[in-house]
Amino acid sequence: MTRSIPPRLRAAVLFAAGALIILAIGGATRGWASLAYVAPVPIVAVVALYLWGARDSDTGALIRHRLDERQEYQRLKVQALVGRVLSIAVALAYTIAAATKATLWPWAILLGLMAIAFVTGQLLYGEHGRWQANNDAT
Amino acid sequence: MRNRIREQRRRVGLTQADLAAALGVSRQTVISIESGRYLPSLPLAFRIARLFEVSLEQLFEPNEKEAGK
Repeated sequence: MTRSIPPRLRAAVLFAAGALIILAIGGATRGWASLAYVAPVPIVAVVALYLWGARDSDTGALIRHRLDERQEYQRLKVQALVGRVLSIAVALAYTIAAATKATLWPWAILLGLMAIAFVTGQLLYGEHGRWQANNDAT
Repeated sequence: MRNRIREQRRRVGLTQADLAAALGVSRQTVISIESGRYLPSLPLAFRIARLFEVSLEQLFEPNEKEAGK
Protein backbone atom coordinates (compact mmCIF):
# COMPACT_ATOMS: atom_id res chain seq x y z
CA MET A 1 0.00 0.00 0.00
CA THR A 2 2.79 2.42 0.95
CA ARG A 3 4.35 1.89 -2.52
CA SER A 4 1.53 3.88 -4.12
CA ILE A 5 2.20 6.91 -1.89
CA PRO A 6 4.80 9.40 -3.25
CA PRO A 7 8.05 8.96 -1.25
CA ARG A 8 8.11 12.45 0.29
CA LEU A 9 4.46 12.14 1.31
CA ARG A 10 5.19 8.70 2.79
CA ALA A 11 7.91 10.18 5.03
CA ALA A 12 5.55 12.94 6.21
CA VAL A 13 2.68 10.47 6.79
CA LEU A 14 4.91 8.05 8.76
CA PHE A 15 6.24 10.93 10.87
CA ALA A 16 2.68 12.20 11.45
CA ALA A 17 1.53 8.70 12.48
CA GLY A 18 4.42 8.38 14.95
CA ALA A 19 3.77 11.86 16.34
CA LEU A 20 0.06 11.07 16.73
CA ILE A 21 0.83 7.95 18.77
CA ILE A 22 3.25 9.84 21.03
CA LEU A 23 0.79 12.76 21.41
CA ALA A 24 -2.05 10.33 22.21
CA ILE A 25 0.03 8.68 24.95
CA GLY A 26 1.02 12.11 26.28
CA GLY A 27 -2.58 13.34 26.15
CA ALA A 28 -3.93 10.25 27.91
CA THR A 29 -1.38 10.39 30.72
CA ARG A 30 -0.85 14.14 31.22
CA GLY A 31 -4.16 15.56 30.06
CA TRP A 32 -5.25 16.68 26.60
CA ALA A 33 -4.82 20.38 27.44
CA SER A 34 -1.05 19.85 27.69
CA LEU A 35 -0.99 18.97 23.98
CA ALA A 36 -1.79 22.54 22.98
CA TYR A 37 1.83 23.50 23.69
CA VAL A 38 3.53 20.63 21.87
CA ALA A 39 1.12 19.82 19.00
CA PRO A 40 2.38 22.65 16.72
CA VAL A 41 5.89 21.11 16.73
CA PRO A 42 4.99 17.88 14.86
CA ILE A 43 2.64 19.81 12.55
CA VAL A 44 5.48 22.14 11.53
CA ALA A 45 7.82 19.13 11.24
CA VAL A 46 5.41 17.27 8.92
CA VAL A 47 5.01 20.31 6.65
CA ALA A 48 8.80 20.85 6.65
CA LEU A 49 9.41 17.18 5.78
CA TYR A 50 6.97 17.38 2.88
CA LEU A 51 8.49 20.60 1.52
CA TRP A 52 12.12 19.54 2.04
CA GLY A 53 11.36 16.19 0.40
CA ALA A 54 10.72 17.99 -2.89
CA ARG A 55 14.11 19.69 -2.93
CA ASP A 56 16.95 18.64 -5.20
CA SER A 57 19.31 18.23 -2.26
CA ASP A 58 20.90 15.59 -0.03
CA THR A 59 18.25 16.23 2.62
CA GLY A 60 15.48 15.86 0.02
CA ALA A 61 16.96 12.53 -1.13
CA LEU A 62 17.18 11.36 2.48
CA ILE A 63 13.51 12.19 3.08
CA ARG A 64 12.48 10.45 -0.17
CA HIS A 65 14.70 7.43 0.70
CA ARG A 66 16.41 7.78 -2.68
CA LEU A 67 20.04 7.82 -1.67
CA ASP A 68 23.00 7.23 -3.94
CA GLU A 69 26.31 5.87 -2.60
CA ARG A 70 27.68 9.23 -1.44
CA GLN A 71 24.44 10.19 0.27
CA GLU A 72 24.27 6.73 1.88
CA TYR A 73 27.84 7.20 3.18
CA GLN A 74 26.89 10.67 4.42
CA ARG A 75 23.82 9.22 6.18
CA LEU A 76 25.99 6.58 7.89
CA LYS A 77 28.42 9.25 9.11
CA VAL A 78 25.55 11.34 10.49
CA GLN A 79 24.08 8.26 12.19
CA ALA A 80 27.49 7.43 13.66
CA LEU A 81 27.75 10.97 15.06
CA VAL A 82 24.24 10.72 16.54
CA GLY A 83 25.15 7.33 18.04
CA ARG A 84 28.35 8.72 19.56
CA VAL A 85 26.58 11.73 21.08
CA LEU A 86 23.79 9.53 22.49
CA SER A 87 26.33 7.05 23.92
CA ILE A 88 28.10 9.86 25.79
CA ALA A 89 24.74 11.30 26.92
CA VAL A 90 23.56 7.92 28.27
CA ALA A 91 26.86 7.31 30.06
CA LEU A 92 26.65 10.79 31.61
CA ALA A 93 23.00 10.29 32.57
CA TYR A 94 23.88 6.95 34.24
CA THR A 95 26.73 8.57 36.16
CA ILE A 96 24.54 11.47 37.30
CA ALA A 97 21.70 9.08 38.26
CA ALA A 98 24.16 6.96 40.26
CA ALA A 99 25.65 10.04 41.98
CA THR A 100 22.24 11.46 42.91
CA LYS A 101 20.80 8.03 43.83
CA ALA A 102 18.07 8.44 41.23
CA THR A 103 16.46 5.58 39.28
CA LEU A 104 19.22 3.71 37.49
CA TRP A 105 17.52 0.94 35.54
CA PRO A 106 16.39 2.94 32.46
CA TRP A 107 19.97 4.10 31.88
CA ALA A 108 21.34 0.64 32.62
CA ILE A 109 19.01 -0.82 29.96
CA LEU A 110 20.20 1.78 27.43
CA LEU A 111 23.85 1.03 28.26
CA GLY A 112 23.13 -2.68 27.83
CA LEU A 113 21.43 -2.03 24.48
CA MET A 114 24.46 -0.05 23.33
CA ALA A 115 26.74 -2.98 24.19
CA ILE A 116 24.43 -5.45 22.42
CA ALA A 117 24.24 -3.19 19.35
CA PHE A 118 28.06 -2.95 19.26
CA VAL A 119 28.51 -6.74 19.41
CA THR A 120 25.74 -7.27 16.83
CA GLY A 121 27.38 -4.70 14.53
CA GLN A 122 30.72 -6.51 14.81
CA LEU A 123 29.07 -9.86 14.04
CA LEU A 124 27.17 -8.48 11.03
CA TYR A 125 29.75 -6.15 9.53
CA GLY A 126 33.08 -7.34 11.00
CA GLU A 127 35.67 -9.35 9.07
CA HIS A 128 33.63 -12.57 9.34
CA GLY A 129 30.26 -10.83 9.04
CA ARG A 130 27.75 -11.98 6.48
CA TRP A 131 27.56 -8.53 4.87
CA GLN A 132 31.29 -8.18 4.36
CA ALA A 133 31.48 -10.01 1.02
CA ASN A 134 28.46 -8.32 -0.49
CA ASN A 135 29.29 -4.70 0.20
CA ASP A 136 29.76 -3.88 -3.48
CA ALA A 137 26.27 -5.09 -4.33
CA THR A 138 24.72 -1.83 -3.22
CA MET B 1 43.10 12.08 -6.04
CA ARG B 2 42.69 14.27 -9.11
CA ASN B 3 40.17 13.45 -11.81
CA ARG B 4 39.28 14.58 -15.31
CA ILE B 5 35.55 13.96 -15.11
CA ARG B 6 34.56 17.59 -15.68
CA GLU B 7 36.84 17.73 -18.70
CA GLN B 8 35.40 14.48 -20.13
CA ARG B 9 31.83 15.58 -19.43
CA ARG B 10 32.37 18.83 -21.31
CA ARG B 11 34.06 16.92 -24.16
CA VAL B 12 30.88 14.89 -24.76
CA GLY B 13 28.60 17.87 -24.11
CA LEU B 14 26.80 16.64 -21.00
CA THR B 15 25.52 18.76 -18.15
CA GLN B 16 26.07 17.67 -14.55
CA ALA B 17 22.37 16.72 -14.41
CA ASP B 18 22.71 14.63 -17.61
CA LEU B 19 25.73 12.80 -16.21
CA ALA B 20 23.96 12.22 -12.89
CA ALA B 21 20.96 10.73 -14.70
CA ALA B 22 23.20 8.52 -16.87
CA LEU B 23 25.04 7.22 -13.80
CA GLY B 24 21.98 6.89 -11.59
CA VAL B 25 23.32 9.23 -8.91
CA SER B 26 22.33 12.68 -7.69
CA ARG B 27 23.58 15.92 -9.27
CA GLN B 28 25.17 16.78 -5.91
CA THR B 29 27.25 13.61 -6.11
CA VAL B 30 28.51 14.49 -9.59
CA ILE B 31 29.48 17.95 -8.29
CA SER B 32 31.27 16.37 -5.29
CA ILE B 33 33.17 13.92 -7.50
CA GLU B 34 34.19 16.57 -10.02
CA SER B 35 35.46 18.88 -7.29
CA GLY B 36 37.37 16.02 -5.64
CA ARG B 37 35.40 16.17 -2.39
CA TYR B 38 34.09 12.62 -2.86
CA LEU B 39 35.96 9.63 -4.20
CA PRO B 40 33.52 7.31 -6.01
CA SER B 41 33.35 3.58 -5.30
CA LEU B 42 35.07 1.27 -7.80
CA PRO B 43 31.78 0.17 -9.41
CA LEU B 44 30.78 3.82 -9.93
CA ALA B 45 34.26 4.74 -11.18
CA PHE B 46 34.04 1.94 -13.76
CA ARG B 47 30.59 3.14 -14.84
CA ILE B 48 31.96 6.64 -15.36
CA ALA B 49 34.94 5.32 -17.33
CA ARG B 50 32.69 3.14 -19.54
CA LEU B 51 30.35 6.06 -20.17
CA PHE B 52 33.20 8.24 -21.44
CA GLU B 53 34.92 5.26 -23.12
CA VAL B 54 38.22 5.89 -21.36
CA SER B 55 40.32 3.88 -18.89
CA LEU B 56 40.29 4.49 -15.14
CA GLU B 57 43.86 5.77 -15.40
CA GLN B 58 42.72 8.40 -17.89
CA LEU B 59 40.02 9.55 -15.47
CA PHE B 60 41.71 9.36 -12.10
CA GLU B 61 45.22 10.27 -11.13
CA PRO B 62 46.56 9.80 -7.61
CA ASN B 63 48.50 12.70 -6.19
CA GLU B 64 52.13 12.07 -5.26
CA LYS B 65 51.39 11.21 -1.63
CA GLU B 66 48.68 8.69 -2.57
CA ALA B 67 50.88 7.14 -5.26
CA GLY B 68 53.54 6.51 -2.61
CA LYS B 69 56.24 8.50 -4.34
